[in-house]
Amino acid sequence: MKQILLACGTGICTTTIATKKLEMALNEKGWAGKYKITQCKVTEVPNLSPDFDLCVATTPVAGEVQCPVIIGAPALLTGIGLDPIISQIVDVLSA
Amino acid sequence: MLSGIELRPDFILPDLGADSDLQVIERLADCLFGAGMVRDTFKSAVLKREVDYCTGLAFPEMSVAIPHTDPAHVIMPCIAIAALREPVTFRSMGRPNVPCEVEMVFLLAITDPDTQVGFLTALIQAFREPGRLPALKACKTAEELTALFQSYFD
Repeated sequence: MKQILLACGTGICTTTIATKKLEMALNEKGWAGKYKITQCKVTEVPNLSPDFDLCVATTPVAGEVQCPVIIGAPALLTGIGLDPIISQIVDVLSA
Repeated sequence: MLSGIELRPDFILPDLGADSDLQVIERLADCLFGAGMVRDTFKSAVLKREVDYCTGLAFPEMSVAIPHTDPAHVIMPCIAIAALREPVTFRSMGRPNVPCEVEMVFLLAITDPDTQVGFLTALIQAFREPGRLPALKACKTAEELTALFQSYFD
């Protein structure tokens, strides 16, 4: 089970929208049941990161982060440019 | 379905002239505070969040912004909408140094993302649907915009 941390400024709203989009995209790629998404505030990322395989953030992340970070905005919100972002995410999860 | 999210004509500014992103947010937050929908801390919290984590989003037909903040500042879930007379420069979500010329602003006052997730995803879907954002922007009155917006969630 791959652990994905999904972060935005407040940990609500933007992450809620982005989570839905990411779940749909990952499930389409055959990842259903193989990952778990946890939502958080971007300021919590450095502390939480050791327990996660990947962080997808909708805003730049500051501080020392101990997992790969992919900026998922605006693609996970607007759907524009989504494919390359999903490919990057799948690459990290497959590694 | 608006999932219990309140939208009333007095939460809508159909032809707002504004000089800056923060001024747009202030005007919208004042509408919600005046109606008793949000706490007195709401406006400053949304402004701070926009500075720290900007919310401009470029959709195919139009760029919009979706400012919001922590549910602690919200009394009743609701949304306020501004259609801007001239585009106002916001900063892009995820890329703060990329300017975003925004034509409509949707100020979200969310209390429970789990129950309101349906509304949030439908909102983003509506932004991507051809013709919808331009049609909202073309509304002449707050009443017209309220009715059209609600029809997207029936």
